[in-house]
Amino acid sequence: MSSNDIVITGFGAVTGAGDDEAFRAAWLEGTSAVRPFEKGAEGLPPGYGAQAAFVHKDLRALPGGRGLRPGTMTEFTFLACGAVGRALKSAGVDAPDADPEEVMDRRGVYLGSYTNFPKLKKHSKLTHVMGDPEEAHFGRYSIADARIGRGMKGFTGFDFLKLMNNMPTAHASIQAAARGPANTLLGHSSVGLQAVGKAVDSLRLGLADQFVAGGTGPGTSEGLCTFRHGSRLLADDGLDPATSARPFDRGATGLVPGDVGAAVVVETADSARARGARPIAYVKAWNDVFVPPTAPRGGLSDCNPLIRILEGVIAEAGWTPADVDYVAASATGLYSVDVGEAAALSVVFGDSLSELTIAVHTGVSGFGEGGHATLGLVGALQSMEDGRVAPQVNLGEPLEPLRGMSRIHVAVEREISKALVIATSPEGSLVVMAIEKA
Amino acid sequence: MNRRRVVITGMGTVTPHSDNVDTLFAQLCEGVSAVQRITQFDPEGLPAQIAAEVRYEVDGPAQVGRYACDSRTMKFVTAAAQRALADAGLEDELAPDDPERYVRAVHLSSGVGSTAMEALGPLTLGVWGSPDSTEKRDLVALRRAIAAHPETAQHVEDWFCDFAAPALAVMFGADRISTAASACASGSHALMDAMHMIQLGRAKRVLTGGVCTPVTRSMMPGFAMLSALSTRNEVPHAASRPFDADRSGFIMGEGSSLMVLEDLEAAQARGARIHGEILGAGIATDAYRLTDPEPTGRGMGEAMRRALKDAGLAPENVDYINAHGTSTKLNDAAESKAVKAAFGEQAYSIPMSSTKSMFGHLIHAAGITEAIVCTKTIQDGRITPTINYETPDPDCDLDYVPNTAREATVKVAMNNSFGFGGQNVSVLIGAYDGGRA
Repeated sequence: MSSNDIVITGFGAVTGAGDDEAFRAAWLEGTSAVRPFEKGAEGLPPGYGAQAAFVHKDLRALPGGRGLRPGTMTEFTFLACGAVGRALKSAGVDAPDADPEEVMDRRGVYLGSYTNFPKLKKHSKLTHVMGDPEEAHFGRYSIADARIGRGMKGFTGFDFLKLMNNMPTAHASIQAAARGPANTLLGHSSVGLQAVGKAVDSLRLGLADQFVAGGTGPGTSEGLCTFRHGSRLLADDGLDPATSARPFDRGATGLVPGDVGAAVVVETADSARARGARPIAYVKAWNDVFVPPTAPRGGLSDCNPLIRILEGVIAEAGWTPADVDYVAASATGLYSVDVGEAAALSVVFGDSLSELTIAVHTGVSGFGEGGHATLGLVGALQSMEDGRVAPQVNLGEPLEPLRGMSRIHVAVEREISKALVIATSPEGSLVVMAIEKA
Repeated sequence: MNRRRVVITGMGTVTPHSDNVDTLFAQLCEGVSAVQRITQFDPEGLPAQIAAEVRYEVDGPAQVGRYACDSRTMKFVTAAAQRALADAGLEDELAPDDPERYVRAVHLSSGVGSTAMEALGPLTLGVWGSPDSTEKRDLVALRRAIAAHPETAQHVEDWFCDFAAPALAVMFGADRISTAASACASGSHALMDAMHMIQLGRAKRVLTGGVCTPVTRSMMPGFAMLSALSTRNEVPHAASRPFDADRSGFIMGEGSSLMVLEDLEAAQARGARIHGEILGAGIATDAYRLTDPEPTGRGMGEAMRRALKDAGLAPENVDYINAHGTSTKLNDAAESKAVKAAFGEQAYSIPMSSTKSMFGHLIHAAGITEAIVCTKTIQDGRITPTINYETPDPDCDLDYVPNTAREATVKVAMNNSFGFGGQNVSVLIGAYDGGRA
């Protein structure tokens, strides 16, 4: 390992299947974590998802978790901090606030997230109470400003603080005792991988020695389920939950929500060496691109930009397409996005598609929003560590561009050295990262 | 690493004072406050009834590509972009296959949307009946109603503000976008990130800045509950009083500001007019509490030290500091302490003013608007004042340029921005004269 290398020394995740270890076990077994929504989520479309059973007690048991207060947290911050704690533990940073000041000063946190959404009942009640009763009588809605104060009863300042979209990073920086750079990248499913890429850039610029970076996406949360449905992006109602999330599959009907927080510890080679950390993989290259979608929250309008950055990242890593042995696909289950990703893979890998391991985790975890692609990265790292590739859960008949792809029906032993991770997103931001086993 | 130099070639703004950069700066130099009683709704009965609102009709695009610009957030940010791009001479649309697209990026800071939740009003009435009903409000029934009316849900989703950066990318023909947030530090943070994108060679031209529209029926009382807002409703113009002993909280503001940053060589190659140079930036995180700044100002001071180091400058090279200066008890004392820690004795001789005394706190757009003020300060040789400074506070004993603008030669200005959640950013802006300032 040379001084210029950027290495990943730890990873962690919280998913509907459990933590990263439980997620790995479920994936290797080919078991989906998607289940019917339980009590408390009645009426939420599509009626099923991969809900994480992660509670504050679990968080407190992780590095830096004792200082976090549930009253200031949301589903977004909970999942983020769970993943950050798991990643710190995996990297051997067991007591971050006990590190020397100069280490804390050089540790950063970058997380990808989405705006913390208001609690539906509380904020809808506010909207309701503010309604002008006279207008309501006629079936119309207008606001009576004099009733704002009445509507605010039951709120505290923290209800609004929690909505600030930098809260995942704000909490995680306290948890990780990170006094270096901290930032929250906002958007849909590509931001978690974008956050890891920006951390790599910041390490190259010398802004820090070590980052915890990743993404969070409580896909089964009330707000995201409701409003993804509003954008007509969710899978059909009434499907068998276990087979509903169908990445790259012709029978996919849309996104199946999943809760995912996923993070990695990424640092300079010198930092890893100084603390005796074991590198798992090198980050060789990354890039991102924007493709105006077919609708403001819609499909991928053109696969050529993805082809361009796939080829660019492969070249920057010093590889050829034939060198790549693993692709962690985004494969969201949303046809209008997946078909573009499939086409790009087909063009870039051509005949070698039949030799390539294409990993799709969506069938297990559901679509994990800001955590989705980072979970793909975690899966690639797990394959590098355990020498196995997991089955393509719920991928029956592949989309046309991938007809010749290598099929994996059960977990198999396979040495993984060079991997690409892809993030696609309904708002049009795409990310590709190349990692190589250390 | 042999760093690329990054220059400012375009500035555009939609602020409570004006949507013209020169007019904004002139009014700030005159000490004009834009704080008034809220007009977007009747605030009677709320603890804080005043704000710095954009009270004029904003002239901007109605539609950008597939993105409607009908919300306040989209109106402000696209109008500010239009002005910044025109100022930079980059308003012409690029052909779809123009390789220039590959060197353009958008990096935006945005907060939550304006009034989207109110779109649920008709549904809540339909499901729950009269607003005065004492019946239990059935959440499941509401969810089912929303599911049956996806168009309402889609409108409410505007809360996410996720159209802003893509719309700007369409306007600018940019090949990559990112949106980031670090609360009140966001605008400066975006500027710093954009500088880094250029330094790393990921882009040659970046449209960057922030937008925030928090003067809403729910956010105003929400921030008041955090005891963050001034409640001097009877004297709006005097309510924001950074560093004054009688300060009592900040004033909410709204708006959007954007800059075009360019790689120096790329700017020179197209003959761009250069407003100034981003000399360096520093970021440090408190890792302390969500709402309160670390009381010793450690993180703030560290951000300033890192910015100086990044720019290769000494404290005596800095001629002016545009303070974060929110007008809260804790921030202003901690910032003053931090400036002294970072600059030593030099702190007492550097003029430091807070423009939040006049346009309030623009939250995600604050840092970038203040960076524009810093750039104009360097260009015009006038330092904007901190208005409403009447009673000195022993904890705030620096030169705050009280109440009156000051003529000065400013070659290097520091812009400070500190956010809820403990993220602190300082950016150094310099005069561009062909060499390092």
